[in-house]
Amino acid sequence: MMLADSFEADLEEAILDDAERQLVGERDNIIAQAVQRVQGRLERYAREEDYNVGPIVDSFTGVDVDRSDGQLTIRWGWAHPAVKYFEFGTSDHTIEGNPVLSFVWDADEAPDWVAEEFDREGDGYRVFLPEVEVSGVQETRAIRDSLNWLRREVSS
Amino acid sequence: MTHPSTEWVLDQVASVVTDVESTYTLAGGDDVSVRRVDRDTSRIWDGDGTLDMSTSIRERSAALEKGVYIGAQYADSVEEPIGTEYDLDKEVVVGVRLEGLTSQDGNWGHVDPEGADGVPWHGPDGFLRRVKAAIYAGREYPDADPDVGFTHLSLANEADQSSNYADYFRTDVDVVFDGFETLP
Repeated sequence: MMLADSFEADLEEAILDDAERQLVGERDNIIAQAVQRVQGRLERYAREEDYNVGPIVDSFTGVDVDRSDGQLTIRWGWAHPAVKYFEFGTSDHTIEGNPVLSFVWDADEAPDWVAEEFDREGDGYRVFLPEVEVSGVQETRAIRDSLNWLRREVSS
Repeated sequence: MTHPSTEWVLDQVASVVTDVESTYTLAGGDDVSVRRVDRDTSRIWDGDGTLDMSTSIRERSAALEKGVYIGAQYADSVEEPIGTEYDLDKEVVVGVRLEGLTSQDGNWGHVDPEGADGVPWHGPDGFLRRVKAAIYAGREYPDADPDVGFTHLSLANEADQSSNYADYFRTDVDVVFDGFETLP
């Protein structure tokens, strides 16, 4: 029997095809499950602590797949700057404006004095404040636990 | 209650405490201190009292003027049945958190990138590498839980957060123990 000269490269490609399909290609793929684990953990935390993690979940960068030189590189992440606080935890802190903070405070959540002092905009009130007190968040370990799960999935 | 795997990690880095203290000094001539923290109970091993390492690091300046810290906390364990006998494939994760404050720019911490007035954080002789090496030194059959026969350990998810701060150093890394548990 004669092997084609390209058999080694063909085999490598076939293995990468299979890995890519399982990791990112097929429905309910492994990376999608890993992402879902992180977001599920954040959303559970949000429900327990009455916190809004919507902007963090929405900052998901998508899954970027790069296949070159016989390597499969897959990247995903959350671009929101607060994601590190949910991962590693932080205590109550003050955010100072430069020179002021401006945001729309949801009408359902804003205290009465906000409604009296500021103008209505969208679903809430456009506020201008020199600083705000933000309550701390617990260390959720959402991303690290998801990566540990992913490693177990891939190695088994 | 302290998980046996947390205790194993803190025991394993005992050599880092003595090695760093005998190698590095502060500007005033005192030894650099290394303090271990059992984060399952918040109890400080090297010294008295307790320390909560889950709050913002900026609130721990006073503690970080007394030394650099190695915190360990039980994080997770996963098991699944394996083989035809009633045994479990088991994995236990302990989160390690290292924290320090610089001795430069008017601060009174125990970390100095140059190694003159404190222990360097990064680099070949750095605190981070010393801690990792001490844990890896016990990687063969780590006796980290009386109920589990661990075959090995690995370090995963290293996250250096030092670049988020001007004066503070902080790195998290997971110790992942892997082995088998024989059911009674």
